Amino acid sequence: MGASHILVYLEGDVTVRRGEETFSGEEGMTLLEGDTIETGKDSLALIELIQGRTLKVIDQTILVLENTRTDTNLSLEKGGLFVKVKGLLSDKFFVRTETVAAGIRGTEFYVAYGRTFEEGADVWLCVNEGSVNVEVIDQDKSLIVEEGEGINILSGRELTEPREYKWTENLNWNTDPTEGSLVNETDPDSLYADLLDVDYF
Amino acid sequence: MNRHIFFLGLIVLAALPLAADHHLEEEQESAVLPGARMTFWTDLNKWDLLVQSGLTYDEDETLSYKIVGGTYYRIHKNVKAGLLYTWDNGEDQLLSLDVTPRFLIPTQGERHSVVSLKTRYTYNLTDEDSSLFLLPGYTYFRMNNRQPRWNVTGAYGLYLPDLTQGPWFHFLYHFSESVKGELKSDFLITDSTDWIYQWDVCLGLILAYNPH
Repeated sequence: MGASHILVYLEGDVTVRRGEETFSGEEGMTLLEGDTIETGKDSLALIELIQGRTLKVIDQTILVLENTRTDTNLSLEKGGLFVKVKGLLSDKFFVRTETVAAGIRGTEFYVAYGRTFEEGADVWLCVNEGSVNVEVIDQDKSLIVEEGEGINILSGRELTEPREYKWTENLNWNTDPTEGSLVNETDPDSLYADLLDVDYF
Repeated sequence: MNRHIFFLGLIVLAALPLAADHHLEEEQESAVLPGARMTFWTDLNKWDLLVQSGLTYDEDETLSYKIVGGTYYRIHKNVKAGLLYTWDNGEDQLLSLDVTPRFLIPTQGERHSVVSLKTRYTYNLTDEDSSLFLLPGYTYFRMNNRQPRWNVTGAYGLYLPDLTQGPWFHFLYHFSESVKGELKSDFLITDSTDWIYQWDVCLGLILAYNPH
């Protein structure tokens, strides 16, 4: 295990779990492979990974840096994050949820859990630059989400057609605190139809 | 696309026999009144703005028109209140206050249901008459990719104080977030002793704009 990643910026409550130990997040803190980063309500964390990769972890998120030595494998257990990868990747870079693997090809994208249904939680993914290969784990299903497109993986298992979503225009892709707020106010719950507002008679 | 054509056809077919019944029912003093309407709807967060124009083929074989303009405000997650102005065939001018609570009934999978109670007080500015319309209803939504594909509402309408009443039906097909087709049936028993009724059947197109 080697030190490689830095918690460069945070807002609110950020906790790092390392084995049996728990630390309060601090700016400049070194993160290790296997660390779990947890953000509280109205909180966020900005993490610089090696090779110019940036993660913006939104509030109420649990993210595990599972494998960061050869290929990069991040496990998103709750919440969501923005990923920015500069340049083309020479290794494999995955963000996994419980049921979905998002393989990155040099890109900028957002992934977050949506509402939870009986069959599982939805997973939303939106690509700002480049493309992302989305694969449903343990099923022979995959597709590529291109720049400007979003996708909802229903209950984390059923791929839908990638398309432009109006809500993605409101995502805050900024990962530089000196250029303005990092807070993303798009709530995945608001992406669902409000059936109490369907009133045309 | 084929599915869209199928549902459009279904709506038209549903309306045809009702239009044919029109001449038969006229002799019994009951009436089937086919009509069509178009609605422009804008959803501005808590505010909705609407403009609606409609035509109805009356029993005396003339066309009457109606123009409605108004706004709804979401005063609570479960309650919307609206103020509507209606210009009815150039004769009556109506002002309506509408309050409708709605509650979601969670069900499994991609299906959802809503129960509602539309309560509309209407004041006729022309003859200074007023009425209260109550419409308890149940709406079933068929969802596709977490979005409504179509929804159907069954309800029962009651007008006070004259107690005219009857079953009410509304079908809405969501071609897209912006374009919707509707079929409305409003069956009103105006004289329960002689079983005289008025049956409004209306096809409609809704153009919805949601900037967010």
